[in-house]
Amino acid sequence: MLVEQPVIPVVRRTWTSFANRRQLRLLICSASALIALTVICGVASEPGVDGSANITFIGPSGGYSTTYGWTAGLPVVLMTIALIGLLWCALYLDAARPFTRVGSVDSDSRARAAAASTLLTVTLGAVLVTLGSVVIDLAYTAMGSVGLQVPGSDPYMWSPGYSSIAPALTWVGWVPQVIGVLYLLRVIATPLGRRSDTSRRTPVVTQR
Amino acid sequence: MTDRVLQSTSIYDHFRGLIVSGRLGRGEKLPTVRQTARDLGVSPGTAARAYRQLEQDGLVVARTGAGTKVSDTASPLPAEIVELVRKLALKTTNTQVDPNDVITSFRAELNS
Repeated sequence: MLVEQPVIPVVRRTWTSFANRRQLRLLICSASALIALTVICGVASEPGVDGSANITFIGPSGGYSTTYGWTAGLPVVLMTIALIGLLWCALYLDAARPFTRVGSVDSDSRARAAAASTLLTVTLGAVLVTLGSVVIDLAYTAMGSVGLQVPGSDPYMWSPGYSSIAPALTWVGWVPQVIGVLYLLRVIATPLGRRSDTSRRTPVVTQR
Repeated sequence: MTDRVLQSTSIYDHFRGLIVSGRLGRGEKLPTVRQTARDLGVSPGTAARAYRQLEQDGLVVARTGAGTKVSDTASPLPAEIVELVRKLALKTTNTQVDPNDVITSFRAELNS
């Protein structure tokens, strides 16, 4: 039978107490980049005839192409903020719970650190995949030239002004996407690794 | 009522011990009243009474919104040193080295 005993606190536990600082910094940077990029694209977007708001590139003779603006950006910003808010709540609840017994503080701390790491990894993976998709979307718009057939003339091609850096932008987008997918795969792989690793685990103690 | 006074006295004694012995450093934040109450299974009022007593005795300084901090004269050690000591103790436990070897090494470093 589990008998609960109060564990006298020594240090203040906050939502960051069991979180990996490096992961947390990376998440803040990537989420800030995603929101900043979305706001910049949103400000540059124009309302379309169908009620959408996207960045519109107008070609020489009426041809146009559209890319990431408020239409896709607003849900991205709202969901990113909601995701970060949920993460904060989960980390806060993870840290705030009292320890059950003095003897279980170490194992409980390990479990809380593992839970915090999983939560951070999933959030980080989601944010990085989204950030990469946005950058790749912007790059593909610039790379894909638009052709227009005017009756009586040859078709001509045009592309937005930043098309020269579009190939590089594609790679810039791929990097966070690949890292994000790797983070998500790590979350799936961690329980499998943990199962085979329990016999040779070394104790890791964190703050009370 | 008497139980609450006894509980708040125990909490007071606990934190007084931590501060005077240097386990909590100068300027270091104490756990919030809510955390202390939740961890010990007492009412927030009981924990708050202990914190008020600590403040009256000059061991801590409480500011609205900034939390409760150990006062500048109460602890023998500053918060930075205590945090480093805590990290060292944590590392010692996690790497499973003999704590006596760590203490000997630390003394030798101080004396060099």
